[in-house]
Amino acid sequence: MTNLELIRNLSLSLGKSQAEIKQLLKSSTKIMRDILDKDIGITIPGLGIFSSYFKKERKSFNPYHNKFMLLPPKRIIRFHPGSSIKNELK
Amino acid sequence: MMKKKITFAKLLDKIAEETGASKQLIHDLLIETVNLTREGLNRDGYVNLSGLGRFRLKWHKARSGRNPQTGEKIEISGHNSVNFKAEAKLREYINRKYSHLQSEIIEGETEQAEAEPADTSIKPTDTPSKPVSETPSHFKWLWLVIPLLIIILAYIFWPSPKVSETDIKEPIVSEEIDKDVPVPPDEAEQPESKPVIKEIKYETTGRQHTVMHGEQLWTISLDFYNQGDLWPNIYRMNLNEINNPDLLSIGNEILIPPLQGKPGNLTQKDIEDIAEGFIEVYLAYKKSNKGKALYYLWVAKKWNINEIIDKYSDRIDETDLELVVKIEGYPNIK
Repeated sequence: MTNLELIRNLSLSLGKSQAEIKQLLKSSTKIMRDILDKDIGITIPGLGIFSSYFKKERKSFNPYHNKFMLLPPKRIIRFHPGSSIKNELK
Repeated sequence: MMKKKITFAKLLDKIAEETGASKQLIHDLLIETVNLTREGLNRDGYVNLSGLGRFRLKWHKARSGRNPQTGEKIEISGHNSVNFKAEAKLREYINRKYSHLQSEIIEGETEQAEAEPADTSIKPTDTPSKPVSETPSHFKWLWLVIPLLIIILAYIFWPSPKVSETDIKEPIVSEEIDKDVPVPPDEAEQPESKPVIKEIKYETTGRQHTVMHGEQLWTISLDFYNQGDLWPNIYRMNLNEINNPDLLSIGNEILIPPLQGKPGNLTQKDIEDIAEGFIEVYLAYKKSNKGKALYYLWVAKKWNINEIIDKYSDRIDETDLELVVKIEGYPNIK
């Protein structure tokens, strides 16, 4: 399902214009982004948990250069699906 | 340690406060989004949520495993799992503190890799950490830190650059300690150094850049000059490295020349340099018989820099020059 389809379906079921839904979704994802940025997880019932974790800098073998490389540290966003969605899609 | 989590109710409060919409509407919106996501996963196997990322179903084949406690054999049936990948923009935003860091090759590690290829494949987690002691990684970061510090200090003490060289030794110690700690660096420090990096792009005497996957001269120019049209200026400085201006190879070390003015407000010297770049591009395209070569000669000619044209007069085709003069209009690069 593409994002456009999602917005179309949402506007049909909520009775709001597509532009309004788009704006609301945009600002909600922005708020979720800021929460994840502060290293706080988000629980959404029926879907799962979003969280972020820190990955230290590390050495890794790069087969293209045939050399070890030093990879910079980074943060990764993880999604942990809830049990209901897991059972439904089994 | 349990990580901090925000509940759904608090999330609703925050969004409602920010957008000014009613809480009921936000609740309906998010619940409906979740329902549609489940429906989409069931139907198509994927859902794209703009601003967050992409959910995808992944099929795991049936396999036989063992119960780790009893050692009994069990059949694990095939099943789906939900896979999530955050959007590139989101990943970039979350990692904006580390955006100035790049992966780099550790020299002197190749021989070990070639000598023990079997070992690396069996225990990929053990081998990289064992042969290398902790100190080399320190020095690798030092190479990154020292030039950065010099640049920052030179920026601060701009009128008297000699003073900065004597002062370098002290800050290194404090930076080193920061790099030791695995937790992300303090937020107070980062915003200070970032704007500096952006500004010096135009001030230093050229910057070294290693070509990465998917980069072209145009995109590099866009990154450094904020304007893609100026790429002939980069090509001019790297004639030995780049044979074909349309094709860069990954790992090429190229030099990015500085501009005296800023894009949109170039000085006469800049224009002369860039015109020279355009003529070099013309010569390269002419060599491979490409029609677009004429465009680059036209741009260089239109700026009326006769000295540059004279300098290359023996290499420029005269019929081309006559043809170009007839074309009207003015290039809108400046």
